[in-house]
Amino acid sequence: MTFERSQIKEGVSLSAVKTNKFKTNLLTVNLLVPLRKETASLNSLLTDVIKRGTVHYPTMQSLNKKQDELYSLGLASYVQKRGEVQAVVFELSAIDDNYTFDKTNLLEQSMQLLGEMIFNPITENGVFVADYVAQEKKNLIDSIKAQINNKTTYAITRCHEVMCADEPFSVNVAGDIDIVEKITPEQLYAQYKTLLNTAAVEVLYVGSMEPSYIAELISKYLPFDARKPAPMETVVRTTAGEVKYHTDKMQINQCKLSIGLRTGTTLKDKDYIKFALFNELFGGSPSSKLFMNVREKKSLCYYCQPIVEAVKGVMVIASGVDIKNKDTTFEAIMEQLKDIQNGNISDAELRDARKSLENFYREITDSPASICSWYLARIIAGRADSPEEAAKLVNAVTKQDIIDISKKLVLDTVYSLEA
Amino acid sequence: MCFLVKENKEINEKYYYKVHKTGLPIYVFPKNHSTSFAVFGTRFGSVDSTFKTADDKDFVTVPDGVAHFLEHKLFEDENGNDAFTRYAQYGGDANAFTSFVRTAYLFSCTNNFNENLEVLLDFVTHPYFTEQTVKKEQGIIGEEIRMYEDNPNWRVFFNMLAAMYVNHPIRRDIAGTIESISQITPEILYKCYNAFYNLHNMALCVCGDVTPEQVEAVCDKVLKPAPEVSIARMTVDEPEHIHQERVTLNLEVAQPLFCIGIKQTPAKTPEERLKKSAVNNILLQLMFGKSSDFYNRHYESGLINSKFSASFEQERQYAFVDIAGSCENPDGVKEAVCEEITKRKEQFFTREEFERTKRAVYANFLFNFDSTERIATDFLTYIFADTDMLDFPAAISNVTYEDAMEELSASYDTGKCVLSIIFPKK
Repeated sequence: MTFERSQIKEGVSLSAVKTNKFKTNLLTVNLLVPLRKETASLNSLLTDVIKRGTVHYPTMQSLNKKQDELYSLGLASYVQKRGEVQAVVFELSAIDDNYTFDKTNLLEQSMQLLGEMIFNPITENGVFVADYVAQEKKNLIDSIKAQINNKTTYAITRCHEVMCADEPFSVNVAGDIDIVEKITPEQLYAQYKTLLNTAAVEVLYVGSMEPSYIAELISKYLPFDARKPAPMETVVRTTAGEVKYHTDKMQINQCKLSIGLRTGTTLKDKDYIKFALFNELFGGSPSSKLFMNVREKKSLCYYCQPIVEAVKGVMVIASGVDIKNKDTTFEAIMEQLKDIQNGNISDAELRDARKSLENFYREITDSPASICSWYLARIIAGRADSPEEAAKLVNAVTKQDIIDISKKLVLDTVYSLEA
Repeated sequence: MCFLVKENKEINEKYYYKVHKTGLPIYVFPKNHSTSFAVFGTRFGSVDSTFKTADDKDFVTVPDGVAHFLEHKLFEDENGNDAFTRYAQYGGDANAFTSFVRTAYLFSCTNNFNENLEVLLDFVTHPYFTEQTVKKEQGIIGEEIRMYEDNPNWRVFFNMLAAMYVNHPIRRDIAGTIESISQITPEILYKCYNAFYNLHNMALCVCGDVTPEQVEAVCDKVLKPAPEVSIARMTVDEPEHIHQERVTLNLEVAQPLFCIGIKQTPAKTPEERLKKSAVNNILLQLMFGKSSDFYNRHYESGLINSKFSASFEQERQYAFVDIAGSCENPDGVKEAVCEEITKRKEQFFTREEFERTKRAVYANFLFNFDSTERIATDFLTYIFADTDMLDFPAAISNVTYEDAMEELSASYDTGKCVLSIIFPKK
């Protein structure tokens, strides 16, 4: 497996992982912009409207039929949040040319279609089709509302919102209902043009082809102009004021407890690996302190897991508990953190956490999606180390490193979703 | 006896197979990935709640949720050690799951494969249950059950099953209820363990950078020969008809969620099962896939949205179609689905549409082979259905236009169609 990063044009880069492991090609075009309330909804809606058709395949059905013909070509578009960066993603997944019946140049044909989706969407009167925009606005609003359906993820999102209320990180990457409602086809098209012409473009590729061939396909089918993207800063807070307590009410059986902390370490930091190992030992695996003590010994919950946003430097410890055990669980979780801060780490715990983290890094190289996700986060944080390189650093982290890094964590918010 | 080899040259995949001297069937799928994956499974799932072994005079019925409870409890040994901790020293990432018809224990690792496999084989073959450990688990599983109670996607699916099936235990939750698991005792767990965790009733599937000989050597070291057992499972007298046409529930959701179920008659032989699965995948894609007339027409009219999906599920004892989504008017969707089925029975698709869809279904299947986890766990599913994952591509290719037409008229009875809805709370 080799990794190569190259510049196609100013502001347009390709990161290619060449490997023969897979039967598929995965390519993502990531348009990176600062996450802001005013534009997040537009970008989100754009990824829905753009799927409705192209100049050559003017209906969703004709576009989908073409994808079927291209061996069930996957074309997806969606938005993601990494720290205070919004990634507008266009994704292509195709089977490798070698597995087509007639050994055809499937990747090239697929790139052509991807290019068509991004650069030649169907329009009317010079803007997006009004009917499509109206429909996708409704679908998007429904889907934002439906975020309450999954109580686990909703309680994590709400905790982020309460915790970072006055920071761009609290912006809902899917969009804001009030803003979506007001979007016009003209406004959406203008944003589309701005995005296409000014966003930082990061293309990621995983598959068997030579990076030079991918670069050639990009030049041919993804005609991005050179650009000077605005810098994308994520503001990191390492301290917290008075602890915020927030409760939302819902008629549910299980209370969702989300504990928000500032980690004091982000992916930008050279010694991020120390934090990663701390996290593994704290709650990242079934042999971690949270799992072994809060779940197994105290039988308080089925899950109790830290969810880390490494670019922003925030952690939410998410758990589902019986409401009468809410306070006990909170105490039990914080006690485990204090335990680490006090240096209470056994050799076995350290060994297990190291093995587990090393394994986690090495497994990333076996999934095209994980590889893409790994490099996207790293590129945003301004680094390019590989999972293998990270795995090699794990054993050098000492107990003292973990203790030191754990002391940077500060409690910010206690959120609960309960009946 | 040496390993037999099965190869599919077209998709460039092969595996090695033998029955280990202890009675355990072993399957090894070499793959040049960093991650190796092993699954050790038994044909014991939530539906196997009434059974009889050679020692029993009569059939015994155990509380709902036992298979899943047993899965949790096997992780603990007599010294109070957790299997997770044993794996951890070798870097193995472990998990387990229980479905309607099987329980599987698995791990993935990028190092120390032999040691991790030793842990897997050892802990699954060494049960240890006490009053105290059973009681502790009731707390954890109780929270797992409550978590699912608040999960609308889970509830809408299980309500659909309960509407489709009159007697079959598939209509009951895999984890049981807080009430049913409170009846579980160490004796019941041992009873089930001794009946179903027999190597002849199990299988080991490994996928990764490993050799068959290596896997066999670990089996030699850890496993002891098992006597052949016979387990009689109570055959469920399940009528052809459905239980209830429409079932609703109110939960904290934004928009109604729905599952439309179409009850089918399960295939009788492994060959038919494989074929049935291939033909139904093609049919559902043709009728309800993203490039279908149905999907596009109703997407444009606003009846459905991109959450709409259709899938086919089958095991030895059951087969059904599950059409799911979220929209304002689930009753309208069901009506449209039934209309479409009726219409297509009279006016089937063109041969060109059929061929294009077949190719897409075939290509889609290939995506599964990029993950050792996917290969190992899916492979076990095929094995337990007495079928072979490597035969599936050919099964898709062999489906004819006429096969698809026949299956549509034989297995899509709109009179066996149920609708489950979760409405928002008022």
